[in-house]
Amino acid sequence: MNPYGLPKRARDLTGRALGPLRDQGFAAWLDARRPAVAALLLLALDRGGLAEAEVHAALDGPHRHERLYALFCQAWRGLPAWIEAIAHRHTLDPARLPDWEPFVGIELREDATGARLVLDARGVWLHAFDLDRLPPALAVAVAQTLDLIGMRLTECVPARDLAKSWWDEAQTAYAELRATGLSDPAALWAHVETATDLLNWFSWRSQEDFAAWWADTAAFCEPAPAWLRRWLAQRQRPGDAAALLRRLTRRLWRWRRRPAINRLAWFRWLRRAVRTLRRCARRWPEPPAHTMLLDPEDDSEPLACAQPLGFGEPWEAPFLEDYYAHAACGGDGFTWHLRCAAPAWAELRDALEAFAIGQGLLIGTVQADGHEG
Amino acid sequence: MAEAAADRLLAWARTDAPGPADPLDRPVLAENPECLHYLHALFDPARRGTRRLSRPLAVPPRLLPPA
Repeated sequence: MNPYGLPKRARDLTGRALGPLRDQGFAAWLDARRPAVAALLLLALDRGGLAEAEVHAALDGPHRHERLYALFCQAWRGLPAWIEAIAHRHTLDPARLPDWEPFVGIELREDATGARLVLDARGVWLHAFDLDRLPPALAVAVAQTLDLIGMRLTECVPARDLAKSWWDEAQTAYAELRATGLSDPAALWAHVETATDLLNWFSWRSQEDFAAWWADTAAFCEPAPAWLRRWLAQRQRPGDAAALLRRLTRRLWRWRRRPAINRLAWFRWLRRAVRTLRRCARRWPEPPAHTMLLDPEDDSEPLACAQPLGFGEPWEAPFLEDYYAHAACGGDGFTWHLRCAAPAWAELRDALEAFAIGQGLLIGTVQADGHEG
Repeated sequence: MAEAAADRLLAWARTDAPGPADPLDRPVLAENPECLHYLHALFDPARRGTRRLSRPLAVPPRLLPPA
């Protein structure tokens, strides 16, 4: 047997016998996912990641499905870079962009009802900043703007909101003890031991344990910084996002002539964020992700919980450590599920774009926090 | 005016995929009469409806034969 002849024969055999099956195979894969593939191709066409001519060539060519699959791969690979570029444009200092990859990954999942785009947190991204050294009115404005970013653009949540539901028993116990009018730790401990059944519910082994719990809970329920108390009081009142944006704009207009404020990096960030939020509100009267969101089919938590906003309060670090240790033990991670179908491709684009803009603004907060003056 | 690529993609997504082809619908040479016997049983048009052909070759494209 001629050993040199074998590879050629094997290649011919593959080409002749299996070649015709290739396009059929691509067709079988694509046909089961036509709406999702078309949505991602339309998104890529819109953002310039694909040329019209490439799509025409694929649809008219002899190996239609193989070519469409290649375009789908091209569109899929370009998606993270597109999101990152939008985030980049909305940061305060584009030269200092953190690595995007570790925070969130994107995947396409299928179920009986169709395909969904899942943004899956790869880690926890804590955005922590110190607003205590700012003028209180500016600190409140920054916190309100962060609330708006979380409501209208990206997935983030103040660590305080996470703790609120987590610590409801502690808050009730604190209110109960506060109502006694006692303030001395020793007297409070004596009251706990003799007049309540709280020892059955909390793991205080000594007065020191109780005193540490009391200090943390007091810092949570009655925070010391004036701006924080004012912000929390304003959050209690139901308000309209548009009215809040108008108020923030008026405040920025007043501050533009006050050198003590207008030279701060936080002021530059606030001006940029409020302008961006106003532009987004004109473009999307309702947050674009709202119509696209799907319930996760697993036990995962919302993506927002992987992106807490911290203000350096004393209870934050131990709380977040407990919270994420618990999530690591029992949960399915933190995800955001978006419908992926051709008729709603524009809504999908808007939801991802809003997410990226919000991420850019959040990166800007950390950059503003790092700037002196 | 030529149809825009986006419209063509939307139309492609809307239309249902054609039904799967029957992989046994092709000429087959069998040298062994035993094989032929089994193939006749398989080719029997009366049994066509019982074949499960809903997802022919529905494998990830990376598992397809090389070009």
